[in-house]
Amino acid sequence: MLRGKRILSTYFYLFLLVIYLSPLSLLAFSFNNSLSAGFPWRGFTLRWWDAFFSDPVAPTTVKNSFVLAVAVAVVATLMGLGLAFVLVRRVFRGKNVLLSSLLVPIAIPYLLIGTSLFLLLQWTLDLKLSLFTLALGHILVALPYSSLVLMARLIGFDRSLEEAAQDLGATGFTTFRKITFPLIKPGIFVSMFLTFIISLEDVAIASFLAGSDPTVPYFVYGRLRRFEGLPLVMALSSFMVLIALAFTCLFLISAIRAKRE
Amino acid sequence: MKDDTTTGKRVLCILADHLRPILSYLPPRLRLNLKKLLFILLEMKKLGYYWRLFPGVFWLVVFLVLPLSVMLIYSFWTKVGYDMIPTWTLQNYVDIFVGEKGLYVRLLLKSLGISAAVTLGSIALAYPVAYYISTRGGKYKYVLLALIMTPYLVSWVILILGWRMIIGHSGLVNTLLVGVGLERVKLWKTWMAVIIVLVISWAPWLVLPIFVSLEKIDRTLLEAGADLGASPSENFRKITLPLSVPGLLVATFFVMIPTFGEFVAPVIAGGTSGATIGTAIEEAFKRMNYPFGSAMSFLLVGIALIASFVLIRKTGLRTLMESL
Amino acid sequence: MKIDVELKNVTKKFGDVVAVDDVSFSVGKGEFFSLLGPSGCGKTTTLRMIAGFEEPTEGEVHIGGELMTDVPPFKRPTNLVFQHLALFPHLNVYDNISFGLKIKKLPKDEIKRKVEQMLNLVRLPGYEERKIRELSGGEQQRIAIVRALVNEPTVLLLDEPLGPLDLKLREEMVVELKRIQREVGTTFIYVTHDQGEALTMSDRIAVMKDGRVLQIGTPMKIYERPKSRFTADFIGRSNLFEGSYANGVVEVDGLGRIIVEPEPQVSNKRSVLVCAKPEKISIGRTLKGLDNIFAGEVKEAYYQGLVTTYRVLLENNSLITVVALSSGVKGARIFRLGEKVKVGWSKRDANMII
Repeated sequence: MLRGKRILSTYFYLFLLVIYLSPLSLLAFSFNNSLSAGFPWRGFTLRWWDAFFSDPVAPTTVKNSFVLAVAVAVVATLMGLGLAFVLVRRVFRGKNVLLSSLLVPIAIPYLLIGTSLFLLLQWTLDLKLSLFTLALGHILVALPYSSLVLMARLIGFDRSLEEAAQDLGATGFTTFRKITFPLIKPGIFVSMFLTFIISLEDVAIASFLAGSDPTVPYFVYGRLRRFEGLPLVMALSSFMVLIALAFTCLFLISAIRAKRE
Repeated sequence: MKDDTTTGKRVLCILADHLRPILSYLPPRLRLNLKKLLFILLEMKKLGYYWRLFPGVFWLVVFLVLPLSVMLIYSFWTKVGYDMIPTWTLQNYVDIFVGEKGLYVRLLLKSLGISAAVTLGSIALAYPVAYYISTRGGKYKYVLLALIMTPYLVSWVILILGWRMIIGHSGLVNTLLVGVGLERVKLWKTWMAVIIVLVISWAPWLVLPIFVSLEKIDRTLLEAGADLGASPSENFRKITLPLSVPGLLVATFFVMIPTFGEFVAPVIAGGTSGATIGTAIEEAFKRMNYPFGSAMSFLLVGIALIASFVLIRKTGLRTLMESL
Repeated sequence: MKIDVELKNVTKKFGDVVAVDDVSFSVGKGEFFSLLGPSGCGKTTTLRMIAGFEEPTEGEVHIGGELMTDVPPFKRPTNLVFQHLALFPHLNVYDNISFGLKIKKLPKDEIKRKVEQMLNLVRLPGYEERKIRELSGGEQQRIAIVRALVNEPTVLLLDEPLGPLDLKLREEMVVELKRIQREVGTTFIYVTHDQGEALTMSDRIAVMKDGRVLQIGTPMKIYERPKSRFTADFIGRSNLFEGSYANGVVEVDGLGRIIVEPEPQVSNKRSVLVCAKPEKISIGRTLKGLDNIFAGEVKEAYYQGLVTTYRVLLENNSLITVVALSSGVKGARIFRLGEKVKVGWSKRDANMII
């Protein structure tokens, strides 16, 4: 059985290696002094990073992506909170319909969300495609996730804590502020984190709805398709990789610190 | 349960109270309309709690139901020049099955095939990982999970670029092979590349639901199995595996349906041999052939919804929520 | 005595299910009043109606002389100690106890003083900074009680607070609760299914079953003179004999005549129960001087130190329970299995249930 255990752990580390292979090689080869954006290694250079930062469009895509992701996270979490409370604590006609409709955005491939929203917003309503229209789409796909996460947290919530607060004199809103909210905070964080990622890494919907304000994934996708300016894209990609790694380190550090307490 | 926001109620009450005396000073017609408004306000006061639903419901209706309906409508129209005429015909749907010597049907089946392959592959890859973390993670469980999820912060399109560097023509794999004296292998720009890329992209995401359902398994059940004479592998096969099925179904749900409509990875990693129904749809929209694109889209929507319905029926909402 | 809580014909229905059925009682100022009954008898629902978390379907709840219909819990002069305590896990001991006081916007130093006072009352001085999860079961109990008590409610409501504690702790807490109540003087309404607790602590008990109040009285009255079969069975152990009453005598099938205290208002030939408590029945080889004496055989004997419990088979094939001192008082000794004995009691030591 020990052999089995060893196989398993080897597999695990292999797996980790494989999934980190891509981002790490991107990072490494963004310093490669070669136009081919890949092997072989032709020397260390910073020129692609330079090109990235001085490019007129590329850095704004980063800004767009992050601003959008934050906005989506906040709005989707707030709406999800409202939905979650009513879905968990009340029974009403049409509840199942609502619940099913909530699951539909997860069930439909992004492509189709993109196309249908495109038809509505651009073709029928003649809206100009921009970060705003993209936000509309992202919030839609993020909403089921935030609702489900918050619903999961609310279901296990001890209602007698709220009753105790009321018994001690707190009105509805005070109870929420002092008791309910602090205790569901972890759920809110998870929801925001999840929706943030969903928005940040979407490429399918962005390719339909972003219009004049490209996001990072959309930009990369476009360049990859047309096979142009790849090394710059590598630098951009590596930049995102660095941000991701930074995030993780922060998270790990705070988790370790929390464990110490 | 008296947890309605009394502050909200109080505001509406004050509004209602203040409006009432003003009513008597107004001409009768206006009075009637305001009375109606008052009535609605008072009714809404009773609904109190349900106000929280409105933003979410509004969003779902306007940005989900409405666009899909619009798309459905357009799928029955015809493209003429740069515009669309409401001809109300089924021609578009017919074209899917008939057009270009059954190309689209082939693409559809190809997409379904890719979906199935990717689902199986990524679940197979993810399961041992989830098992490892669940059984051997100890206090580092969540750290390990976070470690696995990190690459997701980077958009997976970017990761595809990375993969191009590894299995591409002049990538890592080929460089190694050449260095050892072997022939280059054509991996990139094939449908196999598409599957590899998709499987590796999805596997980490699936670790989570599988992990959750493995965690929920009561360890004492395994102890009971051992006590009754089962070997570790029997324990796994007969107890752990069956009990982790809900998580597997959720994982399937997460993977299979989105990959139906994949059009990004197929193009980048598959090139011309990477065409799928998704790329066809994207193409149609690029060429402004909206009716045809809508028809294909809606067909896919139908398939996706049916598949989801079946899967959700089997797993239930609870498991879905817990996985998150 | 001033009445603090009064329930008038209170009924609570959940759909078709009647949880509380036409319940009326009043609780005086400073009383320790218990609602006693098995699970599902409606005692918790009744308590929650007093606290304000449920509204009666019919009837009225008065607290401190005022009608409480549609008054939400945060406006009522009551405080509830929840069954599972409901201590706020994200707040420390001080913040938990001071929660209600802060809402009332009392000045900071007064809050501090009151919290200190309460912690001293339950003998946990200096616990202000502790986190809830660091406390033991008994400590958490006491914090939950003073969190409610510190708000000086007219009535303190307690919902089976001692359930999750182990036996020894429970015994300690019973004594503690009684002491606290006496010191503070607040009216307590206590809900429990444990008759031992109710009998020890209460000034008066209301026995409930299936949503109805069967009997209200002092612990002694409830124990010695149960008015229903259920109460007789539920409180302590009772031996019940069923028969028909006629002029001070109850005729029991197969056993003979039991002499009881005559009840003039009971019509003759009426079917009644005679209730005799195990400790009131004497057991011996021969018995003299008792109104009722019957022959029997010892079927089971459990030595329990101070007392021994016997199960004696009577002539009509029924088993009765007799509890007697193991040794000491004249004639007391341990009877063995199979021994033929006599059991008996005086008529005033038994109770008739109509």
